Amino acid sequence: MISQTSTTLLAGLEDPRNETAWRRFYARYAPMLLSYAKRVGLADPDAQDVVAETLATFVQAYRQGRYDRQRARLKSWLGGIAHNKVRKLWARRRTASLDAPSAGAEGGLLDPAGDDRPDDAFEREWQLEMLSTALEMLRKEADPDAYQAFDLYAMKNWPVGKVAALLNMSANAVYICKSRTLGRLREIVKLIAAEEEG
Amino acid sequence: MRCPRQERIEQLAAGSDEPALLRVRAHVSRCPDCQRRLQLAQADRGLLTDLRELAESRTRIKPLFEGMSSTD
Repeated sequence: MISQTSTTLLAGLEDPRNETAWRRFYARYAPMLLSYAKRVGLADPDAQDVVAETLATFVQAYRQGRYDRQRARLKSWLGGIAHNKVRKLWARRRTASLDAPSAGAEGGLLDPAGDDRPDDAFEREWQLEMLSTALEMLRKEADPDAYQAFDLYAMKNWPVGKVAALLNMSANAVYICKSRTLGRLREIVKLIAAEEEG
Repeated sequence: MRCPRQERIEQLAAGSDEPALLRVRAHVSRCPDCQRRLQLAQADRGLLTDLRELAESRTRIKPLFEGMSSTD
């Protein structure tokens, strides 16, 4: 039931001419990598460089057969590459300039630990990305009215009475739509997580 | 008292201290089904926090992402 898992995305990347696979991979992972880079405090241009370098390194290594899914999950591998790129950029910034750090709005750059494992910021982004994928899948399968009730009330913070009036349902029904939709979302997240683990 | 409507459970989960919820709270403390409903409603609030963080994060990076796309 999972239409675009990491498995199917990765399979498509094996063929260098498969532009669709690359675009899908990019669309799935570039936003989360960019968000990760921003989360660790990189300014926009540096964050974009990290994303581009991470994806390029990943795809090159993947096509060279250096990714063994039996030994490492995609999250670990991609997160390790991204973490490494941030670390290297951080090291370059330290040596290149003492007075002009490329810090984001949140303050100074985080100083990632000296290893190649995904850091906490990447773990968090990965969780959010799974949630994003699950939400997309949920949107496709859900009853349109129930999804709209959930979206307006729970996501967009509309007052329950306004949602109920718009969709011609009771306030209690809006609450139930929200509760069931989130329950289903939780199930889909579990399915995706199980697949990523597998 | 019958099991309360979902609306009441949501209000409890949100931490409302409306006097009208006193009886509901008392019922929930005795009803395993409603305790489960309340736990789920509280878990939903956590999931919603994640969803809002996701929406905010993706909105924040969207202009950058579009910038990247146009240069690739």
